Amino acid sequence: MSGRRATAAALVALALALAPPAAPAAGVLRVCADPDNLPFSSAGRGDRGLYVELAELVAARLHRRAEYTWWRTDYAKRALRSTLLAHDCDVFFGLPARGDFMPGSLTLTGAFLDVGYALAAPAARGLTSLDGVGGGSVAVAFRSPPQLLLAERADIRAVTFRGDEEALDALARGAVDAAFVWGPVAGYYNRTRLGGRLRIVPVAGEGLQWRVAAGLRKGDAALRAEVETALAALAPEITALAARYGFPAAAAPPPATGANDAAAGRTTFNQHCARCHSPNAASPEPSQDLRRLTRRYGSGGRERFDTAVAEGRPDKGMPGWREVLTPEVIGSIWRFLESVQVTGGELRLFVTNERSNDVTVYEAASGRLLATIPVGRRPRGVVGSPDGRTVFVASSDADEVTVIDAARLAVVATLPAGRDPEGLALNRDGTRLYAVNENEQAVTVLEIPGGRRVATIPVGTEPETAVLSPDGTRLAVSNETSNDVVFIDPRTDAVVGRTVVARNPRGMRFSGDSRRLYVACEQAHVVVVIDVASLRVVQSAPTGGERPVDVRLSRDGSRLWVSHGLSGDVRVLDAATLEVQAAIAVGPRAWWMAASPEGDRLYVTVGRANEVVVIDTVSGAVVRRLPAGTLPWGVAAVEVR
Amino acid sequence: MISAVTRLRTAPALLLALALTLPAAAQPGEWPVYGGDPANTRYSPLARIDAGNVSRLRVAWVLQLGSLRSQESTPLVVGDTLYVTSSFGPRNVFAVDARRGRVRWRYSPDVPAGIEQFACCDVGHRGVAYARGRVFVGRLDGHLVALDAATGRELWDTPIVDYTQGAVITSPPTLVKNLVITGFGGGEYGVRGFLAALDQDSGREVWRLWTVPGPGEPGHDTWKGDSWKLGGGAVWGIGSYDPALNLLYYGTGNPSPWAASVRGPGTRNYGRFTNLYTATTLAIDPDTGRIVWHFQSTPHDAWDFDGINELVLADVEIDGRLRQVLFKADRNGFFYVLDRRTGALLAARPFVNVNWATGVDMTTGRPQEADDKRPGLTTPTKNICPNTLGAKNWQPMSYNPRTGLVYIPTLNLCMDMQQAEPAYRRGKLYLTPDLDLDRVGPGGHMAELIAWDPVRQQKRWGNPDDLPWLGGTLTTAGGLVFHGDVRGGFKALDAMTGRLLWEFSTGSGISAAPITYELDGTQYVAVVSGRTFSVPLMIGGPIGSRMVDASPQGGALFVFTLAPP
Repeated sequence: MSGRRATAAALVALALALAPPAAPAAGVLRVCADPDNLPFSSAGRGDRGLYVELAELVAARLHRRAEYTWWRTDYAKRALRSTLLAHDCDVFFGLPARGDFMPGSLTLTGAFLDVGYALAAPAARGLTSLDGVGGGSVAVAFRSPPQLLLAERADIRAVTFRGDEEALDALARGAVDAAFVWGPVAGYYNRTRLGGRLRIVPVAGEGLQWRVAAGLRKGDAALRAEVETALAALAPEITALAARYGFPAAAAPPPATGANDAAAGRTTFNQHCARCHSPNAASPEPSQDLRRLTRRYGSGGRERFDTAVAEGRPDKGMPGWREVLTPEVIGSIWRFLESVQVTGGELRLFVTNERSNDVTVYEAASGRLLATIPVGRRPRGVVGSPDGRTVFVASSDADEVTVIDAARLAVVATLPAGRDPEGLALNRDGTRLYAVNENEQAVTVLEIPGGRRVATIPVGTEPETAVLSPDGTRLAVSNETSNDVVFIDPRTDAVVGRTVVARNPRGMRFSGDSRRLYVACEQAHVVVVIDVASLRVVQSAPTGGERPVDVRLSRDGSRLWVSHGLSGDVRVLDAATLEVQAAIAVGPRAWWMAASPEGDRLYVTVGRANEVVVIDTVSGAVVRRLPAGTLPWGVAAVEVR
Repeated sequence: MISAVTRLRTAPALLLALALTLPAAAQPGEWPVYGGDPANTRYSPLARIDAGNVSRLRVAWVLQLGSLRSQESTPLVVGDTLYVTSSFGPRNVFAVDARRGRVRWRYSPDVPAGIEQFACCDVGHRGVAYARGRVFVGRLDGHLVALDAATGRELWDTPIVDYTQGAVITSPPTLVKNLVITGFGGGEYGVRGFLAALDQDSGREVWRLWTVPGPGEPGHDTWKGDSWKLGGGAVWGIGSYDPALNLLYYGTGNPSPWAASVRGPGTRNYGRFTNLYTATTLAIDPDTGRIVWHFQSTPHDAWDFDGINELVLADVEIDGRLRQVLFKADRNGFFYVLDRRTGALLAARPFVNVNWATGVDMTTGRPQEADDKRPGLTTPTKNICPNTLGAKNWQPMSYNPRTGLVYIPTLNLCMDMQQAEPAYRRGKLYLTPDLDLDRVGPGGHMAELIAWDPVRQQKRWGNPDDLPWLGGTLTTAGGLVFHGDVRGGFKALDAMTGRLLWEFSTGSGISAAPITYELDGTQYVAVVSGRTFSVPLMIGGPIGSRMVDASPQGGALFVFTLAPP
C-alpha cells in the first residue's frame, strides 16, 4: 500500500509510466510502472495511480494505446536498467527532473509536477511548520531526508519507522504528534483512510522538494518531444489528478528553472505562432518546425530566433512581431521553444590532432568548439559508431584505440589494438572494429563493445586505411608500399581479393551501390576506379593536383572530391568520367575528409594550417575555418544521439 | 451526341432543377463555371463513363501547374479550351487545349513574395470565371483582372482591397448579367467584409455591399461598440445565382475577432448581439446589391464556424410540394434547407457529430447551444465538435438529382479552445486563441465522404477515412461520385452505395473538386492535385504529421479518359 517505499530510494522512483516511441508497432505507447506503489501507480483494481492515469492521457494525445510493463522500483536505477534501458518499454513517468540523473542513458522531459516532503498532523492542531511541533514527537521513515534533518534538531523528538506508511499509522493512532513524510503518500493516506482529518503542509528545504519528469532512452528525442508537448498541454489535467490523489500543493517553488516562464511562452506561442508553426510547436512540416532550431543552428539558434521574430522574414511570409510582442514575451517564447528542442542527432565533428595528442570536437552547425579531449600519443584514424554514441580514435604511438562517449565527450576506455594502429573502420552494425596496423602489415579486429581481439588479418605492406562498402559485404584496405588494395569479407574476416593499383594508394570510397571503389594514389597523383566484382582497375585519371590523399563521393554519386596534401586543395571530379571540374584551395597538407549526412558540407583537415575547413558542396565555397589542435589528421562527422 | 437537356427528361420530377442548372449559353459537355452550373450542383449529365466502365479510366494527359502546395483549383472548360490556375496568387493561369493539354497561353501575374503572411489559410486559388470571351481572375494581392480568353492579355485590372491589411482573394468571382462580383478573405485579420460588383466591360465598380452594417444601417445594433469596424464577415467563398428569381446567393465568413466578448457579451445569452451579417446566408438583388433576405446559421460565433460554404440550388419535393430551395452543409455541422425565395427555414439537421448545439430552433432558426461548449476567456473549453475546421470546409459538395443525394466531404475532428481578446495591429492575425485541434471525433475516423438525403435529412451512406481533408466532389448521370483524398488518391464511387469502383494515385493530396467534360464524343474527368500545406500545420501534432506523411506537396492537373475495352 501507500508509503511502502517513500524513502530516499522511492524519491528516485517517484513513479512510473512511459510511452513508446520507436515502435512502428504504431499506436502503442509502452510504459513502465511499479505494480504496487500507490498513489503513483498500481497494476491492481481500484485506483491506478497518478502516473498511470497520466500515461493514459499522454497516450491518448499521441493517438496511441498505453501498454504497461510492471516492475518494482525499490531500486530505481536498477528498475530503469531492467525495463526502459532494456527496451521493454519506452517511457518512465516520475523521475527526478535533474540533468545529473543518469545523463548517459536517459533523456528527460521538462518537469510536469512538483512533489516533496510534508508535515502531516491532525487539522485541529493547526500546525503550519516544523517549529510549531516544539517539544513534540514526529514520525519519520528510516534513512529519509526528514530523519536526517530532524537529527540536527534538539527541540523535536524524531520517532523512526520502517516507512512512511508506518509513520502515518503511528500518527493515525495518536502515538506521535505529527509525521514528516513524503507528501503524496501522506495526502493519499489522508484521503483514503482518514477522511481528510490531517492537514498536510509541504516543507521547504534542501533535498525536500523535487520536480518530476518523464524519462526516455537517450536518442528517443522525437518521442521525448512528443511526450513533453503532451505533458505541457495536460498541465490542467495533471493539477486535477494531483488534487484527486490528495497530493499537497508543492512548497516554495524550486529554484528558478524558467519553467513557469516557458509555460507562459507556450501560451503566447499558441496564440500568435501556432497558426503557421502548429500548436505547441509540434509542426509536421520540417520547414516550419521550430523544434529543430538547435539542431539547425546550434548555439546560434537564439540569435536567429530573435532576429526573425523581431524583424520577420517578409519574403518568406513571416511577419515581424516587434510592435506586437515585448522582448520579455519573445524571450518567454524562446524559453518554451528551448524546452521542446529536438536534441538528438546533433552533428559533431571529431578531429584528431597528430601532434597535440588530442581530439577537438565541434558542433557542426555553428562551428563552436565543444571540447578538447586528450587521448593517447599521435591520434590519427577516427570513426563514429553507427548509433552515434561512440567515437573510436587510433592513438598510433600508444598502440591503442581510445573510446570516447560522443555525447558526454569523455574517454570511456582504451583498447589495445596492435602496433601502430592508423586507419579505422567499423562493420555495419558496429560490432567489429578494424584497426589498420601500419607496421604489422595486418588489420586487427576488435569486438565491440569490450575490445576483445578476435582476429588479425594479414594484408599488404604498410597498410594505410580501411573503408566499408555501403552494403556491408566488403572492407577495402589500401597498402601504401605494396601499391595494392586488399578486399576482406567482414562477415568471415577472410581476404577475398587483391587489386594492384598505382603508387601509394591511400584514401578510398565505395560507390553507393558498392560496385566501384575509388582510390586516391598519392605518389601517382591519380584516382583509380576498381570494379569490385572483377577486381579490375577500370579507370584511372590524374586529378591535376599533387599528392591526392582522400576521396569522398557526393550523395547522388555524381561528383567526387579529392583532397591533396601538396597542392593544398580539394578537387571536384565528375565521378563518371573523372574529369576535373573545379579546384577549391584550402591550405597546406589538406588531408582527410568527412561529409555531413545531407551531403551539403565537406569537412577537410588542413594539417599545416592547424585548421578544419568547411566547404559548401553546392557552391564550392569555403564557408568556415575552425581552429584545431596541432597537425590535424583525421575527421569524423557523427550524428550524436 | 445525347444532349444534356434530352437526358434530363428521363428524370421528370427533377426537370426543373436541372434546367435551372444549365446557363443559357453553355454547350452540353462544357464545364463553364466553378460549380458546374450557377446552382453549384457539380452534377454533370454526361454518362459515357459509368459504373460499368469506370475501371477503364486512364490518364490522358497531365499539366504541371508550376507551383507546389495547396492546389484548390476547379478548371473550367469552354469550347475546347480548359482554364486552370495554380496556387500562389495564382502563380499561373493556363489556357490549354482540353483534348491534349497543350498550353495555349499562360498568365503569370507578379504576386508579391511572402504574401502568405496576409493570407490566413494558405495560398490556395480556386479558379477563374468565364463569360463572353473574357476570363476573370481574383488574385491574392486583392486585384480582380479581366483577361482576353483567346490570348490571356490583361484587359483591365481593378484593385478591390488592400492585401497588406490581411485581405486576399482566393475564389473565382460570380458572373451575373454584365457584372462580375467578388468578395475576399480576411476574417482572421479584422477586415470588414464586402462584396463588390464590377462592370464586366470596364472593371468599374457598380455597387458594394458591406457584410457588416455601418451606423444607421439595419443590423448595426447587433454589434457592441465599435467592434463592427473590425467585424469580419469576409466573403471568401463561391456565389450561386438563380436567373429565374434573379437572386444572387453568398455565404459570409466568421465574425472578427474569434473572441465573441469583443463583439457582445461572449455568452450564449447574446441577445441582440448576433453580429450580422456574419456566418450568414445572404440572398442579394444582383442589380442593386441590396440584401433581399438573410439567414444567420451561427449567431455571435465563437468557434470560427465560418459560414461561407457554397449554396446548392435545387428544386425538390418536400411534403408533396415542389419547393425552390437551397442546401447548405454548414461549417457548424448542420445541413440547412432554406426556401431560396424567402429564406424560410425548412430543415436543419446535424450531418456529422455535433455537440456544441443540440439542435436548431425551427421558429427562430437559432442553434440551441449546449451549456458548456462556448469557449470563453478564462478556461479552456474541452472537446468541442466540430472544431474550427468545421464539419465541412470549403471543399465543395455535389448534388445528383437522379439519386436525390448530396455528396459531402465531411470532417470528424474536435477541439479544446480558449479565447483571448487580441489587440488589433493592421496586417497581423487578429486572433489569439489557445487551440488544440489534434482531436479525433467519435468513431475514430477523421473524415467521411457522406451521401446525404436532403429531403429526409439523413445519411444514406458514408465512407469513413482515417485521415482528414477529403477533396470536393463531382457527381454524374453515369451514377458516379468522384473525389480525392489527402494521400493523393482519386476515387470513383457508386453514387447509390458509395462502393469504390476505381482509384488512381496522383502522388499528392487532393483538396480540389473534379470536373467532367465531353469533346468529340469523348468524356474526360479532370482533377487538380497538390496537398494542403496549412491544414496539417494548423492541426499540428500526430494528426498533422500523418497528413504530411500521407503525401508530398505537388501541383498538377490530371485528365482521364476511358481506355478501349
